Amino acid sequence: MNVLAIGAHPLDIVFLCGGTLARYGYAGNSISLAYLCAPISESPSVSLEDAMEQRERETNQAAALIGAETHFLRISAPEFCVSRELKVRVTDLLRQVRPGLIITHDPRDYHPDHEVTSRLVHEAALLTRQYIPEAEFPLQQTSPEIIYMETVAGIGFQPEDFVDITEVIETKRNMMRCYESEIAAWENNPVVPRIEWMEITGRFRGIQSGVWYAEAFRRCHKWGHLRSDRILP
Amino acid sequence: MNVLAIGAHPDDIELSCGGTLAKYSRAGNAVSMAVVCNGVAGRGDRDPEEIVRVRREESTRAAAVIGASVFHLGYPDHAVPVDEEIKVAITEVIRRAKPLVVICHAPEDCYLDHERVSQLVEECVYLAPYPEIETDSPPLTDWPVLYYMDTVTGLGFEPSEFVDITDVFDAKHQMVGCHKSQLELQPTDACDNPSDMMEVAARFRGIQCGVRYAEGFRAAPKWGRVATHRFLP
Repeated sequence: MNVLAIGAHPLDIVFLCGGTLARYGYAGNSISLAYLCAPISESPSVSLEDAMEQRERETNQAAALIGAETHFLRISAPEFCVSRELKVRVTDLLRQVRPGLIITHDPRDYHPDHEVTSRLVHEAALLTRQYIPEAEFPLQQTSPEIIYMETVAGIGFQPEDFVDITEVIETKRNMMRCYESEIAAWENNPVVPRIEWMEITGRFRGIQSGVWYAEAFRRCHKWGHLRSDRILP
Repeated sequence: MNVLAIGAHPDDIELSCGGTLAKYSRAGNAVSMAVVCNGVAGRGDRDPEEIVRVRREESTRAAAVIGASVFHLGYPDHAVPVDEEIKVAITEVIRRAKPLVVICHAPEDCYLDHERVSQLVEECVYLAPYPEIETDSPPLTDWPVLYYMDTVTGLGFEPSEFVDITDVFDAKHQMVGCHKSQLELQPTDACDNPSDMMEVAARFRGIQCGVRYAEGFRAAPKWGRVATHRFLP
């Protein structure tokens, strides 16, 4: 099966479902990571091009750890919305990757970019089966499954499915470590450094589901997206 | 003011709201803890009479850490009835403690005893001002405010109010540590002991509200017990 994780920003996917992707990868599935938003330069001394180059290089390194391929749509913040143009671009991404399963943001996540990503993915999953004149790739007969990864900090999120990531936790840590500058910026955070945050979330979800570390997911409760078997590893 | 926490088993209150009670106590409020069950099922490997005595002592010691008074109702585990006798017993505890704030299990918590206690406390908080239910102490003059504390492992619970317990975390840790009979249980696949589980939950709730350690609550949406100011510390 092809598994496609679609996130707004690079670290999100690794942080929220990197362990599950590692397990899919180790089980022989094809994994793709796709990022919709262009990075924002967080300091005037770093150009947008340099920020983009760095993020994509780090993401490629993280993806290589689980044998995943990467796709960057580089949509700039002001144009990131549920528009016809972006629906077509995301639909083409799905038609190109042909995933059996998409893991993406919960539509109720905190960041507007996450909400827009979630909405675009949901619409594009339906559009894969519809004729779109300007689309680059041909239409498909079936839509991919959608599963939502946990929200950031688990706020407003009640898990429905758990994946045991105990055996791949070090891979997940290593994937996060690829984002060197971002992880470093969190190092002295008074509440929690970023990797420790991931570990605490993993323990919290693990305690809920009876294993040491787990990741949590919720299904897309829309007709056509519920199934009678378990698709998660 | 007076604060009363009512829990099913001897360590439930400490695990879900011990930090908040410590904070109330340090601020000069009178804190009471009421434990409905005797904890006999907490150690199936030991003599029932002995374990009931041990757990009562542990609970008394934990309350003493924050200078709280403690009531033990002594019902056997897994056998909390919903009858007139227990309603009189819980109403009498509420009348003796004269609380402005009552904290108890959320109705969606995962143990039968927790659900029953939640339902009973909600009823008895309602009944406490009415002379129609006769107990040794006189009826309250008004309804206390009712808060639900976090569920075991946080499953199904969405906090709407948080209490920063960073400064009193040591006290909470010490309270949970008084329950040695529970800390000595075999580690599970998910955690070493209840103290480990408690720390993970406190960090998770802390991250949700931007502090190191926190506890989460939800106010019972009952007319007459909802106010325009914050009761939690």
